[in-house]
Amino acid sequence: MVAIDSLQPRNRRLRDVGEKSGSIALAGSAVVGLLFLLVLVWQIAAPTVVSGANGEIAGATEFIPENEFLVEWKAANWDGDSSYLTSQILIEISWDDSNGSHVETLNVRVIEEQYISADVHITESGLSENTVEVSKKEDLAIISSMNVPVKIEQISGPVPAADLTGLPEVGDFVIPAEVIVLWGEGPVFEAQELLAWISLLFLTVMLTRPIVSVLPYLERAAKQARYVKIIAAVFALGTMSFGTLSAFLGGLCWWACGVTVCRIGAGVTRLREAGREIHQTDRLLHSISNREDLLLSNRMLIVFAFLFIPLEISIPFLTERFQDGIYPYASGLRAAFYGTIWTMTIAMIVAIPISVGAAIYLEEYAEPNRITKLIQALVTNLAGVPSIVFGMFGLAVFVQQGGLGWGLGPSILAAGLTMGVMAMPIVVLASQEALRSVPSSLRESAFGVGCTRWQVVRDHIMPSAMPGIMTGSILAMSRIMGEAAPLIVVGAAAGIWFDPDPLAALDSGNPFTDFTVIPVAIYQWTGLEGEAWKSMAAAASVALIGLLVAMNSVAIILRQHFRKRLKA
Amino acid sequence: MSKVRSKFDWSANILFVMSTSVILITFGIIQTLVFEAWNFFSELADSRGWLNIDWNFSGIFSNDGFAAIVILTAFGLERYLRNKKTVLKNLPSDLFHPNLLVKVGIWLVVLLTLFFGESLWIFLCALCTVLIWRRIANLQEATIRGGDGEVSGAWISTVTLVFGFAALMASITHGFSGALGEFFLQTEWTPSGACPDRRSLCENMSFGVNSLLLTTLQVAFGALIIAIPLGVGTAIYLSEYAHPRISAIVKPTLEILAGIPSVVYGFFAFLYIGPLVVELGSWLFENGWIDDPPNPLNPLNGAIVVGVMILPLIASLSEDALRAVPNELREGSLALGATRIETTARVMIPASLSGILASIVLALSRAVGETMAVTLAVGTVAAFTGNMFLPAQTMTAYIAQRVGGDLPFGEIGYLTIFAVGLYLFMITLALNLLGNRILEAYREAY
Amino acid sequence: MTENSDDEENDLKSAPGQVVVSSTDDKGVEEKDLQSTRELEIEGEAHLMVTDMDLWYGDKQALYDVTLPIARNSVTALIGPSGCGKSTLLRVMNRMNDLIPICHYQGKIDFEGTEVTDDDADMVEIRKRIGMVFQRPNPFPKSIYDNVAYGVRLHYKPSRAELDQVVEKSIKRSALWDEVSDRLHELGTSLSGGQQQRLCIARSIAIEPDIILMDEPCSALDPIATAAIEELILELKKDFTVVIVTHSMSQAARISDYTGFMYLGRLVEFGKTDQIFSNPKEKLTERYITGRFG
Repeated sequence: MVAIDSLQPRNRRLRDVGEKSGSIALAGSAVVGLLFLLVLVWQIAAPTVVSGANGEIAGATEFIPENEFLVEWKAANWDGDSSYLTSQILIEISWDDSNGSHVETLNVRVIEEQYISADVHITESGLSENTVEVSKKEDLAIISSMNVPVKIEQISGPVPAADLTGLPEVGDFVIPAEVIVLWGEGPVFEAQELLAWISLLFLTVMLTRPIVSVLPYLERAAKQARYVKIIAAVFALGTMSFGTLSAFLGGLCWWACGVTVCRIGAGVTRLREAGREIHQTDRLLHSISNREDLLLSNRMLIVFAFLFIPLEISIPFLTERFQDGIYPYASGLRAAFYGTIWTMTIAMIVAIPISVGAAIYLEEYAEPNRITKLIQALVTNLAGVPSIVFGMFGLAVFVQQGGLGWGLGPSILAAGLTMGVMAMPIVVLASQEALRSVPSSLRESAFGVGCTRWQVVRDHIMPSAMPGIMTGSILAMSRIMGEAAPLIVVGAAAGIWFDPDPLAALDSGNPFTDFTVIPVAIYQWTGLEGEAWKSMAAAASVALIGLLVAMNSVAIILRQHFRKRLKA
Repeated sequence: MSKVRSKFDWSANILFVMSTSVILITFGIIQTLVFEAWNFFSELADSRGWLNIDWNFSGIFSNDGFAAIVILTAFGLERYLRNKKTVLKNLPSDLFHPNLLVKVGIWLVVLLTLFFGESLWIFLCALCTVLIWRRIANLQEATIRGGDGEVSGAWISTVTLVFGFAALMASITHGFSGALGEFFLQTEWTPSGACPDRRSLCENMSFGVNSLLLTTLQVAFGALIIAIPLGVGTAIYLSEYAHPRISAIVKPTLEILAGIPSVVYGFFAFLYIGPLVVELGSWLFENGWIDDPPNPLNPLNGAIVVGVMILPLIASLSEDALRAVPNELREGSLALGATRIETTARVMIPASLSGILASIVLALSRAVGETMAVTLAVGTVAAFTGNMFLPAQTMTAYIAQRVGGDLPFGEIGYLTIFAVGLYLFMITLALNLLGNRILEAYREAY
Repeated sequence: MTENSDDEENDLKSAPGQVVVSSTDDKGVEEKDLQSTRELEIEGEAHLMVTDMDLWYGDKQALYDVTLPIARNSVTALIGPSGCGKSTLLRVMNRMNDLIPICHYQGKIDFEGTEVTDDDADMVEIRKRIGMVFQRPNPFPKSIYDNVAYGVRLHYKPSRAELDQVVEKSIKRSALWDEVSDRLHELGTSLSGGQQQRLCIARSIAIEPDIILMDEPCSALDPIATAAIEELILELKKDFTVVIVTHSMSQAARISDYTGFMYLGRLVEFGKTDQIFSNPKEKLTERYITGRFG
């Protein structure tokens, strides 16, 4: 038998080196993703800041005596009513030669006269001229006859593809946005909306720090809870009838006020019945039923309504401008934005009830027989099917006429239905997870009290699983918001100049059925020629990512809130 | 009591109907794809027949035929030895366990045949021979040591058989034609050829899907080459080493990367990665490594970006797999004097291997099905080329591109979409089934 | 930390063969009525010596000023009620507690001239020479052969023939050979509980450590398997030094040469097993042994 000491030992230092380099490599691989993300964010954000004419003229060689850099200002320096803007167009020209570095500035003026083009020569002694005039659709040629490369950079003024208003200029942000607080050229708010919002704000503060002097009024009001709610409903509907988004939110605020008044009042009554005094406010907080949930929904409503009632935020890129073929910088996502909203609304309406129902069936009702296993396997596998296949399904079933087709044509309705079908497996899986996380002791105790299965589900399991289901649905919706492939297959169009109408598909004579969504717009704009469209595609990407961040934040807030509630 | 029992359970039945919608959707997808694909093949078969094989039996004496014979012989040898334990035991064990240098040399030879071999089959022949050699070595070791334990690697013999058969078919046939033959076995994809009437089928159109399939596989496997080391490395780091501060940065980063829409990735690839790849390609072109100048649209571009897209998937599933391994195994290894890296490599990874494998298969399925990023990054003109710096088109990109054009219902262009779509669906379905099955088996084990 | 410890260290060096440590306990724990000196006597020099070990999990202190000598080629048992710190003390000896981030300690562990608690001590070498067998058998999901060969392959570059011999030797020494000699290729996890534990012991002794630490090795096993392992330990004692933590006093009485009784993180009494069980010096020890608590 061999004694172990007679064996040849491994190199200790080699093992140490292996250990060190291994852990460094692992840490590195974990960080690579972060680096990539940073580069991605930087590269996508960069084009949203407009840069003007840029380039490099390669040095002349003995065979090519001159190289050219051509710039054409299409509409720069005009504004809408054909008068001139006065912003200067400055181009910086720099090069390094045997005499050192040279930097010169060229001042370009775009003039009214037509058919005037200009040449500027760069030679050993510098620029041939430092101020030059060009007509608005003619070429400015910058020609170098030197042996070294020359760098051209526009440092101020409208860019060559500027829109008719002469914007944007170098350094502008492609997505201009404006925020007006309360008073711009006249009041930004409607009186009753603002009143509703302020009341809700006040009442929500009362939910955390009650003001004792107001409580008796609330108590009295809550005694007539039914009337309070009717009044609140009347106010709400009245406000909503104005039809704008801020009116809708104002109406919601009125309704929330009514509910909050009743809850606080009921809490005070309960407090009194328990023999306590009204100024024991910390006890009061405990006697308001479902206070945490009310607080959350009120707060979210307040924040959301804040963006629309007291403020006026205008982002014309999203809400006003359509795609402009001639002046890229004047384009906007209006058709795509509303298209996205409608598509997702339809998808939600279609997907969520059916998916949650299916999840409830699979988790609560189904016996483990073959059909159930089949359905479960199908759901899991559908979740992994490429999105474009769903698009083909939508094409054949919703868009086309004949065969299986419903003949809706390439319209928002078909798009929404297709996305709904695509979201279904995801929502089913998420809801199943949420239902599974409900402790079985809850089910058992509900059954033990004698509820039917549906009562157990409706009254006990659903409230407990609802947070998970909600979060899962929001996350599913944010996933499909970013999908372009299936909608391209369904037939998203380009260059749409009207607002989408979801029901147009059902009206066979209606020609306005074309639609697009933001991801498809990004796809289309990336394919178009020119620096300007790159900037616009980047801007659209930023807008899309912003919307996704907003949706995911809502989901995360909800998840945190309900996690806290479960722990408490 | 009897009243309760006879009451119709509305809720159960309604919910059951809702869940059968899932069956309906799957059925709808399959029906659509199959129906239209069938129309496509029928129309193609009307003018070109179903399957015509040009036999060339003398091809058995060519290099490919030789490769096929060697592979099938290896398969047969393994089969024979598997059951003849005494013969196995008496084989000289030095044959199977040469020293390290010889082993490395043999693997190098295999690798060289990939790049310099005359044809793919020579490479597969070398690969299969070496794999069978290792498998027989394992079988011998197991037989000597005794016991009914499983010897891993039964899949090697199946794979060898498949390759052998494929090599055989490749060597004894000149070519394939006909609807099925052309679609599945030819390599030129010009569905809109130079035809006078673009709507109906004409002679100049060819439908060899392998052109698209090759590009899809180039992108998908390229993505795996990037995503597997980084993803598994991240998973190991998060589960074994994680410094809480770094963990708090890495996890949200992965979630964000997973949440970015693929159009945005495509735009980024188009904008930034393409030019970078062109620089690399130019350098290679100047030094003679590749034959054609690079283009900003290319599969390498797509592979990089899709790799980053599937990285979070691999990282999170692999991390789950690693965490599921009981801590006692780790302690046991460390108590024997292993360093952390050795413990990870020798105990943790083998124990979680099927979980990691499942994550790779699912990520592969995702990479194959990816559309927007590859359409923007790889290109829209089909090409069958090994040079990953030239523009090409994946299966998904073809569907997206073709749909964008003129698309009358029922004509051949419309039908090709469904044929390609069916093929794509089948591939991703097979990968998903495989991945989910491995995942279930792994979850049960721990 | 005790007042006399500095003086005592010189005494340690001047009196080979007898380890005498005095400690004054001025912490005033209610149940203790220690006298002013304790003698920790073992025969011969200590193979491993723990001195003044304090250990905390976060803010909670788990070991208070523990001093413990381990005699060569003997079986030292640590007994005491749950949570008294026996496993913690065991794990500090091969620094397995380093795996727990909130754990920190101070004290000295002298092992054959090396200070184990040093920051730049070679962990690989220490763990090679101080092996550990765990409470629940934890064979790797590899073959029986590969389980035993694992440690050998870590530290050496054996030829196939040499490896075969080492593996056979270890398995024989663990009294497992008769049961597995014809199925070495089977998975280690396919064995019964007792066999798995013996496999783990074989795995540890394959690299021929100096000390084997055993953390309640029999608590997950049935009585027959336990008996087999106890017999094995008595055999192993000839070639190795064994430190065993056990819940069972009878086990300690059966197999150990020295016993240490711990309570609430302190080493209450230490001495030869016969003396501890027949004539304990501390009241607390006596109460534990007679079953009044724990």
